[in-house]
Amino acid sequence: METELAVLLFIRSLPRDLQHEILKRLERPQILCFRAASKHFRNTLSLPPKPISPHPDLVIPFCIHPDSSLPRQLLLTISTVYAIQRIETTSDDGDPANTWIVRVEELSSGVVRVKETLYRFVDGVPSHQLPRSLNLLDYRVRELSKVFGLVPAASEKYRKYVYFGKVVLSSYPDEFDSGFTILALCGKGSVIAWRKGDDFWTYIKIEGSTAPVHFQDIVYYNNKFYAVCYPRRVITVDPLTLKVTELDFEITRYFPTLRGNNFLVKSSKDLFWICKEWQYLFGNYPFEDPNEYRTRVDVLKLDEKNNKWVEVSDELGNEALFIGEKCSFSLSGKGYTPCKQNSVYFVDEQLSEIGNCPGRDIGISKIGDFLATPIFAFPGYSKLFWPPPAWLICNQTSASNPKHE
Amino acid sequence: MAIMYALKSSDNEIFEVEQKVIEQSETIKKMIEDGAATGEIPLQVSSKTLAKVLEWCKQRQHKTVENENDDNKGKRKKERDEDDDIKEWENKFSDELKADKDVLFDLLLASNYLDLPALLSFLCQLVADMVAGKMPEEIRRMFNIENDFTPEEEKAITAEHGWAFQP
Repeated sequence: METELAVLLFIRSLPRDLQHEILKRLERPQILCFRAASKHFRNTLSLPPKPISPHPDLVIPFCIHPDSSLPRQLLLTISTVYAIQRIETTSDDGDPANTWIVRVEELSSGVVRVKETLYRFVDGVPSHQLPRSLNLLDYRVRELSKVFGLVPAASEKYRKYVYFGKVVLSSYPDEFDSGFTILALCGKGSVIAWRKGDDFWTYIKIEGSTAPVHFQDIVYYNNKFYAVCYPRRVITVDPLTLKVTELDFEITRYFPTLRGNNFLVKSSKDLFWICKEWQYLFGNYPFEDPNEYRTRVDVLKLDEKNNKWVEVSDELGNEALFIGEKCSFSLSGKGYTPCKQNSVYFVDEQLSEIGNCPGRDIGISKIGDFLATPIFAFPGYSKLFWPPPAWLICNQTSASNPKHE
Repeated sequence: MAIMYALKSSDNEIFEVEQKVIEQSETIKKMIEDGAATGEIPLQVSSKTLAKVLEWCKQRQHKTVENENDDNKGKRKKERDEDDDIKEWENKFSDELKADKDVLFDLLLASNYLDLPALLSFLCQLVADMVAGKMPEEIRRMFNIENDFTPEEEKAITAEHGWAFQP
């Protein structure tokens, strides 16, 4: 809080042109709040474009497969993960009861579609539990992450379904028409890449690999794509040349989760490799006692300089990592963590039996503990994603009456 | 033999710097071109901040020189490796600044005064990343400004901030 105050006072002390240089770089929800504060800010800060989904100006060719029944054109869907916080609290309030983490897709019709944050319920959330509308000026809103997807172009819906897993971009498509590259997990463990302007998608292959390779996760970090596959290998892909380089690495200790699922996720500054493995020896599900749930979670951090993955203990400080089926992000910094700190949150189908509603099938593992605990074991933290908090529902009547002076 | 210049900080410390390094600053470059830079160049920047400015300029200069010496073959790969190194260097640089806000603020002002656009834009982003979740009312209080919108404008603002959920 002290830091934020110092930063704002510093910005206030600056000449207006310098002030503007900083304010125009704020994240979108914060620019909107500045624009709602006074005429001066409204006139000087331009309205940041809405992340309309699917991206209205982007049609991506899809000529990868001779099977003519597959779609020929794809659209890029965009959703955003927001942390919505009760206004009555301070901006560094860490009480999870005062925060709702939600992923939404803003459609061209102006309507907002709520998606399950970590992507397990493909049909969406039980929308009858939502208020009809929200006025964001009634809440503190922070953007946590953008999440991308690929769908057949509208005219091609009748064509054969093609499954895309996680989709990552080297940069957000902007109004300046800059180049960018899309990497996508597709089918059963393939990774394909498309550079803006390309006629074709390119299969990402590991040179000289005889064993079949099954990619499990992809991420964009420090100007490179990273992909992890089974059996346990990690490659980088250059976004311009699509050149594949296998990371020759050492692991600093015995690493038992050979059969588990591999994930890559970045914190505010580092890249983490997370391996999750069910321990079948213990417990029966549906789990009623959280102690019966046995999932091992190993967390390694990339030491880029020495080409190593190193074991971590309290590396994350007050950050937390979230791993979903099609997205991963970190909640960090800015003095604000309404979640278990130094922990990894992940969706786990082993937990779906007990939590057959969004946000219940989540395991949490504190870094260095190796074992995970279901989110329902932490009553204070288990409603971070769903259902929408009572204070949000209650507030909807005041939505037409923004708290302006 | 590289041409050296002596920069004098506001607290009278002297920094000997190569011309190529310091010419990244448009302000100093102009002083040199105008012939105003004979002997020591006095700057309204503290020694602590000036040391940081020079750290940045040397890192940038390092990259430019290496690129000039490269032949085209393998240049691309080398550039990319360098980009990685720079990223790592920048991460360390920003961690240090985040830990000491006063240096960060002074450095931002210095980069503006010395006309170093790349450093200025880097620092503006760093400061912007520290601000989130501030409400309009808090912004008004902090900036000591009034809500001067007409009721019509208020309506337009509310519309910008509304979410209608898909039923």
